[in-house]
Amino acid sequence: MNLSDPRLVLAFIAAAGALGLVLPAHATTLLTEALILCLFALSLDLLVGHARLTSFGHAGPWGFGAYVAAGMLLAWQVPLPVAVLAAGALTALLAIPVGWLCVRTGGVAFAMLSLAFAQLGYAVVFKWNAVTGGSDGLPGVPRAGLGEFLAGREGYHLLVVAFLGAAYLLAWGFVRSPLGRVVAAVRENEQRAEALGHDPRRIRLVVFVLSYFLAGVAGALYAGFARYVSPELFFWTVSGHVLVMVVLGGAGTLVGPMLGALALFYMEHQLSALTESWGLALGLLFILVVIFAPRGLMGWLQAWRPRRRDA
Amino acid sequence: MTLLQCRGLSRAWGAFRAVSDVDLDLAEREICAVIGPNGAGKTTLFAMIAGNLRKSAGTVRLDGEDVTGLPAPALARRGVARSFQITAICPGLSAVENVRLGVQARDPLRWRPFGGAARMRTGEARAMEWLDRLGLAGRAKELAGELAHGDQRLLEVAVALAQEPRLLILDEPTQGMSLEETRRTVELLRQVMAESATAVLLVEHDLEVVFALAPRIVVLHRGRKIADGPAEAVRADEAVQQAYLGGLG
Repeated sequence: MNLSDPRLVLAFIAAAGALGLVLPAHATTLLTEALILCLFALSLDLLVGHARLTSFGHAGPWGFGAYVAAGMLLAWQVPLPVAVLAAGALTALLAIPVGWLCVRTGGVAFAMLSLAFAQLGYAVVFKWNAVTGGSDGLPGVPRAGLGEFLAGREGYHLLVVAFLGAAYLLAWGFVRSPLGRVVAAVRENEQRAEALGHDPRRIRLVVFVLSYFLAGVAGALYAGFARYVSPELFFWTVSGHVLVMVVLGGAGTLVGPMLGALALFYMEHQLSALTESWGLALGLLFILVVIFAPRGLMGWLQAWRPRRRDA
Repeated sequence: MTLLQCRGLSRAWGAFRAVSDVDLDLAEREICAVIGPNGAGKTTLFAMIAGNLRKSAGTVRLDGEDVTGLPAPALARRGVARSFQITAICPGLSAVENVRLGVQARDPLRWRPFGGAARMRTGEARAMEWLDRLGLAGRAKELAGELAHGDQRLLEVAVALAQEPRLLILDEPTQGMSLEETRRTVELLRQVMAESATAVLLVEHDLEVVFALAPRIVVLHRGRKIADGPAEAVRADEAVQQAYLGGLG
């Protein structure tokens, strides 16, 4: 059984959808939030794992998508799926100039530049009271145009599941497409990619835009989920959080970062119920993962399977 | 028919002139080796021709088109493929995937962001043919970065050949190879060159390799071209003897 088999992954996502219908109300809500984070981590994996561009500013597209969707839902009561896709599209549009600047660099410079853009977004929503509500954010975001069931807890859960499944298929299809393989070539050896006729910057920009699109969709879904957006969405800790999910799960595997998001979200909840210093425990866990399972949960699971077969 | 026409190519870093005023013409399907002592400017010259390095002066024409200012990707799309002095392959991808990317470089649909599974399969079949021709078929599924040094050098040549270039630039293809590997590589290159329609520019330190592969030799010395002609004539040339061949004893 191959853990990266897309049919298996889609089956898991569908199972998570079914689970939302039978779990207690509170647990369903938590699961919905976790699945939105899965989509967020998936979007970052395209950059960090597939293109090896370590973004430390993924809160930027997440917050931008959330605010755009919240604005559309509040101002015009646009049907929510339309608002989500439009927010994704506008985030992708934003990614063109932002990415054009960011992909000229790599490594630490890329991380800092992406962080700077996210902080810029934070400053803008914080100060621009008239449009963004400033530090109060925008409360009361409606789940417009969904009908009674889909706007409810279980319905919204299924909507998130549908978006996650579609996003996974999109990312999976892209990674193994001709263009997606060129992204891998640019990641592996820029000089070789150039000798094959590809402009590394342009290729990186394509991944950047796709990653921002999916992060914007995730943020927009979150706005409808929480029915509230605030500048916190842009905060740098959000960027760090999602980066930990990707690394914890195993960058470059698409499935791993989704597992990482689930694992981190779950542990945070369990640990925070036990102790106030749960952040410390998570920090220690992260250190252990980086040292003993540098390829994350996925690397660990894949290394573990053959041994089990031998037994 | 002239494929490549270089006029007055020069590259200087400050006062140091790595290449000065080199003219070089190459006909279609012609095979030409560039030799010279260390630091003669061979790699610099190739980097300028392939668009990896800006020229201080001079022009390059490819099939009559002025390509002087074009960067490497644009030249690659016009049919220039190359291997590097320091092996440039994708270490984390399988050998066959490396070559398939070379095949794909010629495909007008290489920009497709989704799907294309059937094309990927035909591309892989073509890539396997190239690997087979270079004796690497047994290594197809291995990660390129885990191949032996000599196989990595050959893989890079396979990638470049898979691009089906009009001009193939090989920068020391047998560099770092054992005597046995070098012999095998020369034999393979000779076969492949005989079968393909590409013109070849070759830098090589090993003169046995040069005389085995290239009917024409250009000699660089301190950035200048000091000889250009049929291999036998160049071998007999007195200036060359002094600058290079004699020097090696």
